[in-house]
Amino acid sequence: MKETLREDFDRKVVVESFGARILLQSSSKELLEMAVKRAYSALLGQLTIIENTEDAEAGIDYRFALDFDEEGEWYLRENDQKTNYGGSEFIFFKYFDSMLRLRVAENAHDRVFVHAGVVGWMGQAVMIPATSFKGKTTLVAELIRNGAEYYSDEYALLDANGLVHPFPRNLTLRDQDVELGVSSVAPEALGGRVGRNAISVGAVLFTEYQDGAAWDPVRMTVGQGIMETIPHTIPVHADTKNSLEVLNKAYKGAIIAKSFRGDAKRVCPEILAFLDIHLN
Amino acid sequence: MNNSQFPTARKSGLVVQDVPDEVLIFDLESNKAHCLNLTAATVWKSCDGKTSVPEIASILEKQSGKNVSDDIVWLAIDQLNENSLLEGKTSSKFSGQSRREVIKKIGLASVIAVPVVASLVAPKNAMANVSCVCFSSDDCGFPGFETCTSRNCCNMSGFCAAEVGGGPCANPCTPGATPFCP
Repeated sequence: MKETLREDFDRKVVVESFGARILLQSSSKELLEMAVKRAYSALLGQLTIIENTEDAEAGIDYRFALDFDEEGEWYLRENDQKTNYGGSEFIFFKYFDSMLRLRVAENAHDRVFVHAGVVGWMGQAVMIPATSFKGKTTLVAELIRNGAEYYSDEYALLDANGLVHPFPRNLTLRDQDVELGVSSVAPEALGGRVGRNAISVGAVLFTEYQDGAAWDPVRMTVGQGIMETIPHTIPVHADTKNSLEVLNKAYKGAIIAKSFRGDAKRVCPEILAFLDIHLN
Repeated sequence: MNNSQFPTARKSGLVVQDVPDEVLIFDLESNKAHCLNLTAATVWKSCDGKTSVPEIASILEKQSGKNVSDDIVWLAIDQLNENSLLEGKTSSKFSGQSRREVIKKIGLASVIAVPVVASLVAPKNAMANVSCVCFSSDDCGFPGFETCTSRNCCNMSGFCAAEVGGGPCANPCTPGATPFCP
């Protein structure tokens, strides 16, 4: 790839989300406006524009520069490292969208972001921490179809007291028949409702799809549960102490269990029955 | 130098979190997280450089109300030592024996839980557990995309895709090759 980057990012905006301050830069007014608009939707409107950019720059946690190269292709710099080119506006902004959320998640001061699906059941949060491609969203979608309240299919947002806040972006379901191989599905389209209130964690389920596997949950201690969650805890390096404290508060009193699972449709009633028994 | 009869718990570079009946320790230097069960946690907390191994065994006895041999403490010390959770290095009392053999021997005779230190390496890159987005199959080896595992390859639509099409992608990511997932 050719290094034909321009450095004259004369237009800039500082935005703040969950306490993380992000500098967006570009040489193009239009592109910067598009970036801010995209940032709003990526963070579900939980974004504030800091008016006095010069003063705000001192407290920047992360910076993105969006621009075109000499050949008119999109490029993105994160801090001072070029991360990618793209010929497609759609894919470029899809990437920016993901990266922005990730960097906010890493640098958030107000919340601990855990990569997890979350639904509400019996007034309590059911967290499903997992890596991508393990069937997390498929299971969340199925739980919603079965009456669970939707909180998130990407991040569990934990506050200082360990309560889970909704982050209800549309679900990203794998779909080979559409562009990018994923489709965006509103929880309402699955017959579900979106949770509005911060709720305590009632259950933490570590589960991933395995062909033909039976749901056979093994209970875990709080310590084991936190250990299992650490790889999914985005700010665990940036703020280890707070991350562990918040996870400890969140998991205290929760049912923590681990099991492989088979097809989401089949296992969902079993999971809900398990929750019915164990959630007070 | 650490006196192995008076072991000292390492304190620097660690973040410690007490959880019910366990202690979590995150080692900022090695990027490892450790979960100590109650026995291991009690031993670690008792390692103040002034308390001897038999005295630590007594502390465990008081805590559990049961007889505890020094070997239990030594087994904990061995694991704490291996995970760099003690100052300096202590020589193992059980050198030449596998842990399985030691645990079998001590565990059968023990009336309290054998000490366990469970460890994991935390991924350094926050991208490790989020969806990989890519623009070419080269991205799998590109800085910032190294967390796309070799099982994932960049599909034609711009995602490192392990399960597009309903099953795991059987094609390893080959930089420069035509990206393809079934």
